[in-house]
Amino acid sequence: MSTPGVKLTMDGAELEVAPGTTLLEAARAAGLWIPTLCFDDRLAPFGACRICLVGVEGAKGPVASCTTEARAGMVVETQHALSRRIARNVVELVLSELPVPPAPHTELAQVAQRLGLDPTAGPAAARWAGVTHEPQLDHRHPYLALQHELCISCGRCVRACDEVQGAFALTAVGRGFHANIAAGLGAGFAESSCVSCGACADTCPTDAISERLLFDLAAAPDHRGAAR
Amino acid sequence: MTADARFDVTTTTTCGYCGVGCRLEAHAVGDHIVAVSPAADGPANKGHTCVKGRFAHQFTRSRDRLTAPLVRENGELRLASWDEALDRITFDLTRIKAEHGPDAIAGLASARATNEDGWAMQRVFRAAIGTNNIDNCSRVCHSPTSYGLRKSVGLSGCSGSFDDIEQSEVLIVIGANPTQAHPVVGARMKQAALNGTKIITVDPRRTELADVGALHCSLRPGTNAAFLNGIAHVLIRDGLVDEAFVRDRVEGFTALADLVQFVTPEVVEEITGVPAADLVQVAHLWGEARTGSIAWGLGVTEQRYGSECVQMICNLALLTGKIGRPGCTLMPLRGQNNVQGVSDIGALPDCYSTYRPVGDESVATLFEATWGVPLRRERGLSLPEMLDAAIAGKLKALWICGYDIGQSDPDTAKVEAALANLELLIVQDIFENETSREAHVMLPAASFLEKTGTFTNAERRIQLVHAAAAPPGAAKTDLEIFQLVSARLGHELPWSGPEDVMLEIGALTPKFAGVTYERIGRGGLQWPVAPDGTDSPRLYEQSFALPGGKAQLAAIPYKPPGDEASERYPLILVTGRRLEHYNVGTMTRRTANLELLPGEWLEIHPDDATAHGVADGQQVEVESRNGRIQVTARLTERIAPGHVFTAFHFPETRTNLLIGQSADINTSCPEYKVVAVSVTPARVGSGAARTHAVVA
Amino acid sequence: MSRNLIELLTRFDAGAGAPTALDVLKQAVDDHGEVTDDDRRRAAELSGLPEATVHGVSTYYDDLTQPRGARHVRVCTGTACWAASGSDAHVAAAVAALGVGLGCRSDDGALSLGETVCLGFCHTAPAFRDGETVDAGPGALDRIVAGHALPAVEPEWESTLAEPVLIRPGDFSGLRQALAGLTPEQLLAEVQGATLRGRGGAGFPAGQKWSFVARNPAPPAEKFIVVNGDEGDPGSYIDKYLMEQNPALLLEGMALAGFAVGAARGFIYCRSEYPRSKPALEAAIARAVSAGELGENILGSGFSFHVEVREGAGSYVVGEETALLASLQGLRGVVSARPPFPAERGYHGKPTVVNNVETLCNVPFIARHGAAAYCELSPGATPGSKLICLNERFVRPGVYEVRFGTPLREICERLGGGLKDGAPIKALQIGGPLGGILPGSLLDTAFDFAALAAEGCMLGHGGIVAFDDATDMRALARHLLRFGAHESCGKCFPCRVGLTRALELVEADAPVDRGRLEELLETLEVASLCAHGGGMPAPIRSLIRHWPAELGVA
Repeated sequence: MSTPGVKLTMDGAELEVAPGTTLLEAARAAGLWIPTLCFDDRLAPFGACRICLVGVEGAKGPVASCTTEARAGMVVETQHALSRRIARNVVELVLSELPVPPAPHTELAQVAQRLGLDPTAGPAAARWAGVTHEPQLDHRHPYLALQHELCISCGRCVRACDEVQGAFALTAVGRGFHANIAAGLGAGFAESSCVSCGACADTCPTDAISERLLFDLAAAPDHRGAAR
Repeated sequence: MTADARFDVTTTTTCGYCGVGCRLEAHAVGDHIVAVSPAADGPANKGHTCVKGRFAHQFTRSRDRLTAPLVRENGELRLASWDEALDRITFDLTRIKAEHGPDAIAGLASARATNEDGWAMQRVFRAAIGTNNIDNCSRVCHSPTSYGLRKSVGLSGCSGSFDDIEQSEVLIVIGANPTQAHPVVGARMKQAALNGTKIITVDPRRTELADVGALHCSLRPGTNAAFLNGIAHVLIRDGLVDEAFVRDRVEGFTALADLVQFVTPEVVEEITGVPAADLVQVAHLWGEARTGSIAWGLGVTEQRYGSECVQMICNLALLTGKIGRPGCTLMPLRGQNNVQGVSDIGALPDCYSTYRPVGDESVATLFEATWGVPLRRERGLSLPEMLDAAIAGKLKALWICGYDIGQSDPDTAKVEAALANLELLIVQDIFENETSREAHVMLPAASFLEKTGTFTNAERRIQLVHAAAAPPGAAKTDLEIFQLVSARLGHELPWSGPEDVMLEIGALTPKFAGVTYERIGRGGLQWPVAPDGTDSPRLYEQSFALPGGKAQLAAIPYKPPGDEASERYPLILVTGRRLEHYNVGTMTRRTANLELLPGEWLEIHPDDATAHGVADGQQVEVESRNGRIQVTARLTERIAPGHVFTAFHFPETRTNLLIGQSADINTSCPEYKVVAVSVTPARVGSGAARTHAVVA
Repeated sequence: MSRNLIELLTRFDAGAGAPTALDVLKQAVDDHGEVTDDDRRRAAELSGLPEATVHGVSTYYDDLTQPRGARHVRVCTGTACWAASGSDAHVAAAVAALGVGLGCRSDDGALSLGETVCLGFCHTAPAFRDGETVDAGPGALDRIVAGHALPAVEPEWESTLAEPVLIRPGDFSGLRQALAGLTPEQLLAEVQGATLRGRGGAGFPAGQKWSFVARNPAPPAEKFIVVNGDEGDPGSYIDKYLMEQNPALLLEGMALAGFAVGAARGFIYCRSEYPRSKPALEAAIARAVSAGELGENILGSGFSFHVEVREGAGSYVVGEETALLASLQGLRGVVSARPPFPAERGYHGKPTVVNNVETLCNVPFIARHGAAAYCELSPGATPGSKLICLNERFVRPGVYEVRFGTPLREICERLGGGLKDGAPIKALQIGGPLGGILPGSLLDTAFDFAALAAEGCMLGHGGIVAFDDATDMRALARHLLRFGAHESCGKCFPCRVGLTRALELVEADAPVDRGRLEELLETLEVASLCAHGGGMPAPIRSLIRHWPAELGVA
């Protein structure tokens, strides 16, 4: 026996979803795109990137769709102009903190592109340019490379390590603009409780954690040649 | 998924390591696989994978891959053309068959290869050569599981799915270390444990799951039966039996109740070392839970009475009605990617596909009609029997596909003697290995990333395998090789590719009737698969696959294991796997996993270390009645005093020299898990050797 | 907040009564001046948390990251200390006099100088701390340099009410009356009827929060009362007063809350910046337990309630309730998205009431006199009374209990006596760093939630910092944003990057592009996860509105 669904309106269409469904889940099920950077559907909603904003009739302002549960009678606008403009601003801020543009295949680059930003423009192109993260490469692990300067503190790696693998090898470190990630006590993956499952690299939206082999390929002048 | 410009081709396939069956995306640049990532929609892995599946693919590009056939000439293996190698095989097989009969030839199919490969190989043996001498490596791992499940509930496979893990209120994990050996299922179990599932671990070692579990029972190796019967005792004693279920769907209750009547928790404590109160707690946790599942591994099966213990595991589910419902599953953790499938499709000396006896006239005639040749009704040799026959000079030719018995089988010295006595040893593999030292012909095969077909995972799920790269050099897929040889032996295998093979399997196997590649798709099919394609995520919802539809409780007493500690050999050795490596390490030792775990060690409790004069990090000699090896000792409190543990991933350690001839009484599965040994600081210059004083 | 980590530490605590990782790390710093990897491993072992998690904790809190010498001097960089001179002159003076850079340790390890926000001696700024001694006001730095720090004088306090609610000694009379004559449901109904609004800043009705926990069927051992004593607002020392001078009133309020919702255990989370709070609270707990007013079977009623005090380690955002719960359990004090709310999943993942110190101090009055009497205290305004505090610029700084709706002019001129030396009030910042800035011309505004909101300000927690006419508003913007960027927990993207960018805009030696600044502020307001990023724009917007030229916006 199924519990009665929750009926809501999203972009003009009537939807019925199971109780407890978030607006983001409802939108994705309906094939509607909402930008996200800290979301991974294997992980509990985190609410950090703040770009999944949508308009909800009667709300004080845009709400984060990943942490807002659908309620009966809600009228939701996923293309809400203010929400999208703010989301774009947030992504512009994120692009401004990386010393180099994100690689084209990364989720960050793709989300930026889709929001109308040029992900290849570099940090100085942002309207709010300023300090960027210091390059710091850790490739002590045979498979995993960690480029701290690409970390945008979305917490996905830390949560994947926690909620998928249960290895608890990663943590957020520092605070504010200087927040980053670390494995174990900071001495790298190999010296931590890491089990090398790669879930962190899979979920990373910027390649801050990436596969070393791919990292080396990209670094090679002719990366296709280097594969051989 | 957005196309990723870094790669030329991305292919969705199924992992070729353990039996979890993770779906993978293999990314290639040119001819090379450069990365593997988990498929988000994999039913077993749900977007996750492990250090092996994800990273350990560099072996495919290893410089020492076999890229051309090798034939032995003047005692040395040398490069040869396919024609030359196949001519030699055909000539020798034909000659041996003519001189000694078809039963002088035997084959070992690979649990690493596809269902289609295995099907082709058993057809070559049964139809082209004319013998039932075909077996596979499940003989040395889960044959007792197959036996026990078939006796108790009917079908040789997991009764549900991995998705039952999260729905189980209680999960008993016995003789298995999933976070190391089945990492993705282990991770799922760990998450379940943190989310409310009460895990009970039963193992001589305190495993990672024990750390998050509700209760850990550290029992003496070889005493599982006493433990399991003891739980049955408490379930019956304390009124925790599902009486309606037992009345309606189960037979044999009275005999079991009579048998376990005196197996009190105190008696069990005496035998197993598990405190009586803990046993009672386990029984109550299990009996009082609404849902519960039991997962087991080789710590149950690789024992003298392993197959009986599988039946006793089934007893616990049957007594409490925890089967055939969500969250209630009997879950054997199969060790290899296709160890389920290679047995399902009948690479067994006594069975056709889905365990139908070779002596069953109606089945045999069906096969004869399709294959167009007469087939034998007598069972063939099992793997241990093959080795005995080789030593006795009765078996002249052995064809081994993707299986390094020289390193993985027990009593290494005996295996070597058997191999050395053959007139023709064909080793079909991706690398030279311990077994191929004696090979007369080596055939270069494709790895799982270079072929197409299906694997069947530990939840009976048939999943597609797609070639993500071409085999190196002149290497061929196993299926192609079998087709070539079979044709030369005069029996054409009439398939244009693996998909045709599956159609033949379906036509000859009612439980696979509806299996097609199209229906398998991305989500797989769990057998039995009806002709319309309906598959079976859960078995036994209404009835059991036994006569009358009733399950059978087994009333079997505990008996001591085949080997026991003694004054000379005071410690019990348990062997197993470590996360970073896979079985004999052929693949993982050729990847950077070797950097993560470069060598073997022996786990020993600090008290035992003190008693035997062993220091942490010291090289020690481990000696059994059967042999001795050297390995580095590491002190850990995770293993109970009286026991030591090591793995078998490294040929230089040769762990299996220590293992003797003791084996499961019903299936001949070797007793890897209970070996009495002594541990002493190593003497200089004494390497691995068989203990000559006790050579039988 | 990771459910798994909470599960791990809850299980571990249940077995062992474990210390939190944060407590172990704090102890390490007290012992040997820094956190080493061995300390982290030990904290992991003792708390049941993974090593990496502990590493994350050890890099989060100011107390754990600032180097410490044998002698550790801290200079307060709160807004009241800044307003005392309209600059950070006292910081520069301390650096010069001690010969150690801010955030540095002398080469020989003998002396270190750190900054801290805020020591809560806003009535006699600037404040310094030498070890456990806080010295403040004229001559404080000289005494510190000479090694003769004297404990600074505590503020004056005074109630303007005939029958004070808050400025009166706690005597457990409300608890006695409730235990004797009220059911938990009746007490809850009184608190709901009193429309007691939270005093921590958000103003959420306390009775409603309680009702969520009260109707949860969990047993008393699995419900918790958590007191938010993390009064981080620079310029505020109200909770400091309550915790240190009147802890019994707070304990009484907690016990009443526990009685009403069916909880048997409470925690007070206080600040490490207030070294006297924890000892004062613990002494009061010991007194109350020995008097039978707290602990097992209180006053023979059968109701039991136990209180434990835990201390923070230097983080402003920990004042947010989800961050506070994380920190209370020894984790990084970062904000979590709600739902789930603490009433559903709080301490150890169990139903938890989180209330501010002052909020709970209102409850004894309600228990004793009833909702009606409470509602009559501030006619035509928010029910009850409010503590405010005034900074050092005022002639008579201190803690005052006032009725809601009291005009700010009355507070500033009659109670505070205006500014020292007759200086005009250029502006007030009310309710902490996230509150707007009110020009001196608008002193007739009533001190209440709605009236202040109409002027882009907020009542907040009730701290009032006055700036005199010498104040440079661009420097004030720099001061506020520096604080904001430093204290951002780093979880949500807009705050993590945006506050640093806002600071960079006002720090640059150039006019500020108004459009860019305003769009950035809007992004912070709309998108931030918590009130820190969402609130920091408010004072900047006030500065743009009232002093655009001084701010240099164009």
